[in-house]
Amino acid sequence: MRRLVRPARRALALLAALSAAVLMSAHPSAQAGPNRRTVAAFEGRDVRAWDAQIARMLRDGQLRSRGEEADLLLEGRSHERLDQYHDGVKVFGGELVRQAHDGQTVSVLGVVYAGIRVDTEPALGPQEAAAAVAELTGAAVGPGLDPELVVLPRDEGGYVLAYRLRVLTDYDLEVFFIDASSGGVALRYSDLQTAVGTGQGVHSDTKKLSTSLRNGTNLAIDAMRPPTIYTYDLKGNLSRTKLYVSGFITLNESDVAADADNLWTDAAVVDAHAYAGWTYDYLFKRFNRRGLDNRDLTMASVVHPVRREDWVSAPSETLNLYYLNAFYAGRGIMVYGEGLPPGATMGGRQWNYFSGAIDVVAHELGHGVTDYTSDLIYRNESGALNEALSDIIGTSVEFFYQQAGAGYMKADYLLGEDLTAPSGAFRSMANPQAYGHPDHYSKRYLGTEDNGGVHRNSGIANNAFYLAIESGTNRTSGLSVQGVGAAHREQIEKAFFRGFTQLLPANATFAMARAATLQAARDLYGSGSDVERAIEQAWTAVGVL
Amino acid sequence: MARLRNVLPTDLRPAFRGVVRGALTVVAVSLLAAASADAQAQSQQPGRPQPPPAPTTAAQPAASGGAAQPQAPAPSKPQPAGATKPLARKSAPPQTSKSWKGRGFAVVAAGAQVATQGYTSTSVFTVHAEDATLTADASIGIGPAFAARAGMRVWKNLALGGGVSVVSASQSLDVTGRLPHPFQFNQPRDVEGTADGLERVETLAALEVSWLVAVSRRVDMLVFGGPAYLHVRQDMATRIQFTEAYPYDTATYTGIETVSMSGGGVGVTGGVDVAYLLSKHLGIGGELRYSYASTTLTPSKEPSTVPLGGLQVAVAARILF
Repeated sequence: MRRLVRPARRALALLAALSAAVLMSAHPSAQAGPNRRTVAAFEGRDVRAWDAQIARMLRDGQLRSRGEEADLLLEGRSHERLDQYHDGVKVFGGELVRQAHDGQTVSVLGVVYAGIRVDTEPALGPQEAAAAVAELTGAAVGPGLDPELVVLPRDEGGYVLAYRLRVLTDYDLEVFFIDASSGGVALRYSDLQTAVGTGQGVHSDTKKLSTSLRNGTNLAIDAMRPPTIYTYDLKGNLSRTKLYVSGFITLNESDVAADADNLWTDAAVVDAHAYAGWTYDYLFKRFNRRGLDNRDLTMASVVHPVRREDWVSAPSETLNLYYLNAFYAGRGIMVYGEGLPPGATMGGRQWNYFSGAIDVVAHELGHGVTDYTSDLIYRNESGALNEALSDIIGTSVEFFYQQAGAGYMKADYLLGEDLTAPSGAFRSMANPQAYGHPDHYSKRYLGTEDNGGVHRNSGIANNAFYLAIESGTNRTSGLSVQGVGAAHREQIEKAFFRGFTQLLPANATFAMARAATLQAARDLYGSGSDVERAIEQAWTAVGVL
Repeated sequence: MARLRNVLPTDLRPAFRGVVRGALTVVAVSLLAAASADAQAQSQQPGRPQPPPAPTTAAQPAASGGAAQPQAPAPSKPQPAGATKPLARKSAPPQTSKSWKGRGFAVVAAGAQVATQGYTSTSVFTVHAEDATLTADASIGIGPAFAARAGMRVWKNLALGGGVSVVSASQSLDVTGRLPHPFQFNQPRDVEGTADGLERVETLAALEVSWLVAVSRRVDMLVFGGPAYLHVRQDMATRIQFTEAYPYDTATYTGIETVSMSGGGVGVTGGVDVAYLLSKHLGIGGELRYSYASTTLTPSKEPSTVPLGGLQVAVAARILF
């Protein structure tokens, strides 16, 4: 009997391996590359095959589960993220996302890398890698930022063992991959996930603030929401801002914005504090999500990182980052640019505090959500999707709290229109071309600037989102879309949010975003629903097939 | 003035309602007795067949004071079996009420205010840096009433005098409220609930004109009325107590906060007092009184008009002098 069993097992194993190879290389829903294989399994047979493949890869140590999270919008559904490993080292960008319903796999989406041949014994230690980055940039790396050893798939093919770390430099927030053998830079890109901004002002509207009374002083500490939300006023102390963002120091209550009579007059503080809370509320009410990490991560907004009156003498990188920008710095920290003094102009516009636009604040916090969900890699197509999701969240929050219309404090499909005087914007979801951004996949930017055009190519997904809600015609393809209508915008918001945050892997493409949002629409609203039709037409209209 | 509500514990209130019913019964019985006495009197009119008077064994004492009353003739021979006694023989009426000769009267009464008009109050208070509103529809329960009146006859059956009364009652409130959201302006949460046992003490002082109306030889009725000043001290709802939790889109009513307020107003009062005369100087009966005035109380920013008075029913003792 044993004589029969052993050959039979071998035959089955061979059959399984052949099946996997066929699935990975020739399956209609998989795109094959030299090393990178894209997985998009939504049908029963595909799903079962990938389920078996995942089980094998888990047994072999090629995949490790990051854990399951319950679906926030569909009861009984769960999402498991599986990271690819090679000899115990994480493969950067190698990830599968498995959706299950009552334990049965429903879909598998992701990217896996094949043919990895890398020695996983690093010649350098993590501190040497950090020192190499410090030497390159002049920036110090705090003890809170541990370099992570990864296998990095290279764009030009092949793999390299590298340390990954995110560092705040004088003018940027960059991700470095330091070759673990040579100490050289294997890859670096900006991870400054910003609204790239423009901004006008903090308007004279009155908002409620949740504050805390300590020793007779009201502090901008929101203790009414499940996560504590701090707004720090760094009073123009840029070096302290940098130390905080870099993980060298923690801030304390003396850094928290304060007001004696709880009638707050610092507009930058008011808007940063209020809008951070509003964004948390939106995520909770719309998606049942508890903050950035779904575990009520503490949120911290930093305002007044520089002094306005110093803007004339500020280095250009400081001007670009801390005056005329806002960024999500990781770990729940947002930094809002100071804008320019009244009367000063840049590009023909006056610039106000960057916390003064709700879509900008929500956009930055959207990056925090992405950080803790699909963690879309901030370059190329996944980076454009990362930006698009933040634009989608920013705009959705705006519509959640403001009346639709044009002008200040009105909800629209422009990004950052409330920051400048005269009013301007830096992106349009309705008409990306108006700001020089592509609205169609065929026009996508393929260069290397802007991390492969993350702020430009986001226009493609942004326009799909807009069309799926509002209806209309894509200006490039001329294809019309019948949207669900503004009254049902919640449906599109949910489908995109669920698709982007829970179904997409970190290395996602536009095609995967189409598949993920359609799958989300089917799951939420059924096959053949108006939502599915609108999303399908929208992606088709923007050239993502 | 001590709150009568404290004098009369809650568990005695059903008994007090019995007193009220008793007062009404006394009024009714008095009127029936008066009607019966009149019937008897009419049956003794000349020209109509009279039943023979019952034999007496002892002379009846003469009625004290007042006008001399005609006495029934003494029997001269045995009466047939079954003959009834003449009622008028037993005792003479204390006085003829058709022409009141006394100097005045005093009445003390105990009963209840059985119908009191409710009121609606609105209170504005601050919650989460925004105005919250509370609207309370108050209904006033039945409460014990104590009253005293006195008058001096000035002309024929007309008397001038005054009266006071004190009523203690509890209030029940139907409360609705709009509570601001902690994070957003103009997104109030609606709550509703009830509150019971709020205190209310109402006092009345009146100048009264009274007219004595003879109903029968033993029953008469004082009809009175006049201007009155009514004063109230009562609990009024000022704030809603509630609980809330994130995301704060709803709130749960748990109770109210109150403040004791007082005010008064000039109004009118009037009523009837029916008494069965036990003697020339003492009668018992019942009293009905209706009073009305209003006052304005402002528990918090918003003034509320509070009606005062109502319908009182009481048992009463009358002293004639």
